[in-house]
Amino acid sequence: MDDIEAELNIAETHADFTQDESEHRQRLKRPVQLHSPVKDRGIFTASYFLKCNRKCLKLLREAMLHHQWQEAVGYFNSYIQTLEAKTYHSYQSVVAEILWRLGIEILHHLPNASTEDFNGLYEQLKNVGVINFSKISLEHCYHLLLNGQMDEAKRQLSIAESWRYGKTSRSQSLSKTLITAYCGLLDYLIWSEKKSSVSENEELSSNHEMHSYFRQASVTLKDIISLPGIWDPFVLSYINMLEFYKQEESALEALENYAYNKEFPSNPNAHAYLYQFLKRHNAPEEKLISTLRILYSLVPSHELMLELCNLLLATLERSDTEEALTVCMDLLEFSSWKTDVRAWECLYRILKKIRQKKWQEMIQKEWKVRRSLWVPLHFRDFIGLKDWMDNHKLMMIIKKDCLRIINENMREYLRVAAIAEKEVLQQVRMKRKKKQHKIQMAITELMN
Amino acid sequence: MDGTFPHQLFPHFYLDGPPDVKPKHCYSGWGTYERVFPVNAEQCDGEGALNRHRFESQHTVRGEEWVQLKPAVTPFTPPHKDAKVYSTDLVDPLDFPEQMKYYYQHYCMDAFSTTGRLLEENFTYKSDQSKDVMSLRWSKDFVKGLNYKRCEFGKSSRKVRHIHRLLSDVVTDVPQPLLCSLLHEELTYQSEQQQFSADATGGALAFLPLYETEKGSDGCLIYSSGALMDKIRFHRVVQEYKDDGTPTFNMASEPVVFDLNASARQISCGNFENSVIVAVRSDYFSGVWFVCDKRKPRLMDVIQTKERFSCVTVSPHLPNEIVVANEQGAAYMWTPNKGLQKFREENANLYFNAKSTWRWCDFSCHPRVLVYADRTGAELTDIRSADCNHTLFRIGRTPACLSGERVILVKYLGNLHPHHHLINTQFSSYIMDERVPSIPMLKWDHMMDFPPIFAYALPPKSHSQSCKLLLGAQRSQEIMLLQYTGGRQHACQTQGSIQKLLCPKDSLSHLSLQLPHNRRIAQKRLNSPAAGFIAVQNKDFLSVFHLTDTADIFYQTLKLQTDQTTTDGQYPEQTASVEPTVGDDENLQSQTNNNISENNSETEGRQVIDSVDNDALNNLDANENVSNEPPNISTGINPSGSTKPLKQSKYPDLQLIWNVWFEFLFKNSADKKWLPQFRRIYIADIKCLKATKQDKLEEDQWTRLRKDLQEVMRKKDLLVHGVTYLPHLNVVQIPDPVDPEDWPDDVSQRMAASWEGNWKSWWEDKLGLNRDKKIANLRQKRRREKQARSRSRTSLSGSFASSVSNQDSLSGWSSAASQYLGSDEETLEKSQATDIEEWKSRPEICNKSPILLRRFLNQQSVEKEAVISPLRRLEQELVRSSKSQPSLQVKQPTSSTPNATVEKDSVDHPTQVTPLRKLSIPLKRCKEFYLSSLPTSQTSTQDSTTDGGFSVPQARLLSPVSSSKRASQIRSSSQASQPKKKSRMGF
Repeated sequence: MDDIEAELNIAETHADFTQDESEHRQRLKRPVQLHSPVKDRGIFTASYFLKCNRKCLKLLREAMLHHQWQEAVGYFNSYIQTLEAKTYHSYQSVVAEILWRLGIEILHHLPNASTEDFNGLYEQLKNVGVINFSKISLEHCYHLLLNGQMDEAKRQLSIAESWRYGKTSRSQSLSKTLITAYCGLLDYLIWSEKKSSVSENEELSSNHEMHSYFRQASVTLKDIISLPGIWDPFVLSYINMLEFYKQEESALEALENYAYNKEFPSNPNAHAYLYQFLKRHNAPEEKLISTLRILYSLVPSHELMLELCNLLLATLERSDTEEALTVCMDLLEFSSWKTDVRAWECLYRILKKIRQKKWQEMIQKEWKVRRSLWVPLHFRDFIGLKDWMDNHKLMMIIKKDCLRIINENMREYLRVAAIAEKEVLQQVRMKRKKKQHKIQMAITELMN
Repeated sequence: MDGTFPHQLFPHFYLDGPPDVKPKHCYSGWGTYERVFPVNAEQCDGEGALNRHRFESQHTVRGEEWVQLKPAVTPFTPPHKDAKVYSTDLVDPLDFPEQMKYYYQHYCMDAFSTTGRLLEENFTYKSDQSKDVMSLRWSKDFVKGLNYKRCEFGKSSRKVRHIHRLLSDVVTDVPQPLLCSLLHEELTYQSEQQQFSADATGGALAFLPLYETEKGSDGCLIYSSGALMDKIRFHRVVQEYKDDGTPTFNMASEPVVFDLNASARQISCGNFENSVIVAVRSDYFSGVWFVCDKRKPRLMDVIQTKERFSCVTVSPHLPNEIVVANEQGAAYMWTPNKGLQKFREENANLYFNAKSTWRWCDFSCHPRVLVYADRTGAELTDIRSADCNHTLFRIGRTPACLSGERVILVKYLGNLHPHHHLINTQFSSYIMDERVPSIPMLKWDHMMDFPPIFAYALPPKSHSQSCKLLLGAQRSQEIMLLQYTGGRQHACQTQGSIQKLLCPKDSLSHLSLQLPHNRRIAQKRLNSPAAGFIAVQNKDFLSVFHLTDTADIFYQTLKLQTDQTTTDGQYPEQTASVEPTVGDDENLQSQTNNNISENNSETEGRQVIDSVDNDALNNLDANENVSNEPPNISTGINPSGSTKPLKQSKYPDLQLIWNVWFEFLFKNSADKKWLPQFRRIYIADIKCLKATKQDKLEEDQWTRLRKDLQEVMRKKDLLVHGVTYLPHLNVVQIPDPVDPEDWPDDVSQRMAASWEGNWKSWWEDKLGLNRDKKIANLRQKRRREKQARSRSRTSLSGSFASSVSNQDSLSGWSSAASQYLGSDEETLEKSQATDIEEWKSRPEICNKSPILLRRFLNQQSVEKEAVISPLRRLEQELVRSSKSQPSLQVKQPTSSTPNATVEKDSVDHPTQVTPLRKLSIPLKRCKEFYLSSLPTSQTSTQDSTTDGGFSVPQARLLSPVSSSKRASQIRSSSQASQPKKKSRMGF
């Protein structure tokens, strides 16, 4: 009977939703709270079972939110009986999902929960209501993987993969895709295990068993990485296998698709993988630079920008040096790189090169645009103090050097440091004096 | 290294389109790993020795364990005298009659003055009246009585009713229906506002750490207070550490107070360097204060607009930069004393029309790139160029949003990770990385009852610690603690499950009892919605301050559980140290585990549930034992968290602080002199009610009845009316069962159908939704017919005789019919069975209406027979007759040819009459039909009437829907032999 209320609850929010669409302001949709007490309106809500059930869920939720797991166990045992109230199928699957989630979470925090408990709970609840099957199977597989039972996980995955039931909803199809993808990943892991176990003298690439695993894994992994999304672990495994069998061209194709396909989300790792691959295979420098340039346009704060600067500095072109200056200065504007010595050193190197080549106007052009931001960002007095305090003396020196090349005098920045420096020097001097004094005293005592 | 990007991210789908999953429940924050990946998948060739691979999950099980030091929050400031406490009960829009009553009663001059004046001449309260003036002296008592709650029936006055009928629609100044609808609208709006109002987003409480030493630290608490939250207080707070590291907070001196023109909604402050600026947002203005350690806070600049401000944020990168957004969609960079610079304006929502004017702005990793957000998503805007916007987050299928999900709060987590942003919706919280737009690095379902409009981020104190996020809701005062790690070398991972912190409104149950009226006052005060919160962490202690709408500040302190047990391994015995050492504890645990394993074993559901029931009771008992047991005093934790009142001895200091707080509160409320009014009760009236003496016989009867009743109750027996000497009841006869066929109109038919449980099929029939199915059946039947025909063609004689083919068609018809009958019977039986079960399982209905139920059950049983028997019989009959009397059946198709006449007089009835159809039609109507429509096939019809004649009374109970459906199906199959009808069937 709870289901009807649940239905009503949902229906209520929907009614609000549709009604409010005509209005100017839209009402915020609230979560479906199966634990909130029932209103005493309507016919079925008066049911005692429903009230008890809701109260039980509420207490269970509170206990779990306050991390009182032992208490939660008691409530959970009572709440299981909701499964018996099976008057309504779609509600039952919701209850099964709630029970699964809460049960697993409680088991995680019980000191003496065994593997069988977990397996039992997963197995029982995945078959209540078909809607949850794929989802729970996948989670079950994760659990097994995390506990080092890879073979069992593989078995579970293949069961879930072959499972069919009527029309699959969209969310189910997503989890089905993931199930096949993880199947491929496990195949790859078995392959890599085989690879390491097979001794060196044997011809690796001609091992038949390995090859069959490679075929299985590569087919599924290729499928999954052609879908838009983030598939770092899958891509890495796929590329690793292809490189082993010397299929560099298809590996490059896969990586380029992963990085440059318009339908994929922008993922810095995709570009990084491509760059590393190209570097491994000794691609020409222009190719490397162009790869990093694209990454620069997407993520100017990426770590590889330092490498881009180095690559650009290595060329003799004037425009490349100019670009390196822009890239490096852009990098330094991000707060993640603001205090990074490597980046400042890189800037100093670039500036030095420019000074050598006597392209000072290049610096002035860049500085003119950035001065209003850079002065408060890098050279305000507090930053000076902080640089000095955090023992970034090295950085102060580099910054000072950079300023000298830029031909700018940041008195504010330097003054704080200078004052601090003076104080320290004084202290050191005092200490030294004290020491000398002590020594003198000792000497005089001795003399006496 | 802040600049590094995780080498591997967790797999994630990138999907297009709006979210289409409806929220079903709000417990999805538990029990999931989300995704896993192998830690060193690509390196395993190099190592070689790795036999087993290690996996990592996105949601991890273990996190830091924070435990409460005290079972309830501690008041930090005495309750303010002038705070206004509003009722916190949710306004129900359906309560508008009450409101109208109040208005009419207490603002009668506004409500009735116009018509009242017009009617003045005709009514009077004076005793001396002329002829054409009506006296209303009688109504004085009635009007006086309105102030009290009273019995509607006892006091209803005939005169009042007359006047009401006469004047009710003219007497009010505002027409009643109009007032009703307006009031309802207003109440709906108010209840929405109560549930969620975006005004307070961000929170009006801030903390500035001024300096820190070994022994303690100094900070400045900035919060809004006053009756309308229209004062800003800068209050210096001294934090000291006890020997064991527990922090204590003291208000150092008198606060510096600034009066505002309106209530302060949000306070935002930047990173404290030597000085800092604090921005305060009110509805139509924003102000900036300059705060430094040595001097008093100083107001720097104020801006005012016509559009409401919805956001103000101070830059974490540069001093003197503030960003403000207003509800018109414009966002400005504001440099105090220099003015505003507009960098973005959007008239519509970003990604779809969410009909919301809420806008929000925050900073990002780059000081010149800002986040611009509304309810539909968030964008990164480069303020140096005009059209440089990138999506950071959008409501859609990629982050697996639910339908109706909206952005509630966006926060830049610069102190946790320079590239991370927190996006809160009413269902989930997302951690977004600027470098990977649209794809959430992490997602929690925070499981809060109300949308989290406050958030606070605490950076890890050491490398091994996790980043902490606190989310706060306004109405329910909930605060949730989430933990995560990663974002640099490793991908983001959540740590442990979500933890709920204490909230002020739950504290009364942990304190000693108050008198009921005091308790009510205190509870009301504590229930007022939250206005903000902040958290301070030092070493292993986490202190959280709450600000409520009544400007009261409470705080709680949590301690990090850092025993050696946490380093022990995966499942340490730390629960034993957290849990009280109870004798039954082991017992309890083994029991509970037994339960779980029992559930998991492959036993039958019923048994499992039974055993669980028993054990659950035991468990609950055991739990009570647990909560009764005193907690581990050495750690000072109350792990059971039971709602039992706190024993005085355990936390005397907490109780003491609360006692002082209560004293202030009750003194304040006592000043207000609110006293309830009572009506004087006239004892004389009651005296009149004394019963008149009853005659002896009657009295005797009563005593006897009482005795009987007592006896019966002792025996647990029934007392039947017939045994007593009570006067006869005039028992109302059970009305005759309604014959659905007597009510041919649509509504009655539908009701009859729904009573039978065939409501759906009735509608399908009515709307012609099952036409396709019918057609399919017909096709099938025709195919069978063809097959039969082709078979029959093999015999030469058959191919010529028309009668044979007819016979064939008939046999096909009957088989088809039997098929339908079979399936229908099944479904019917099933539905009935479930119906009866349902009835049985609803004891309250059974008790209430035994007659109904009996009738229902009877009908069910009768019906089953009625449904099955006559039709079967007829079917058999027909088959038999088709074999024995082919000549009769040959005429059968011709019976439907003159159907035009039939169509005229039965609109909602089938256009054809077949023998079966009649079964469900009362005899009377049958006759009409036959007379009008069946001139040619009298033999056959008569034959069938005699056939079905006896079953008519039974068949009457048959549902019209099922019968008509059946009939129509059969009809359609019989029509198959008629080429004329094809077009009508949709071929």
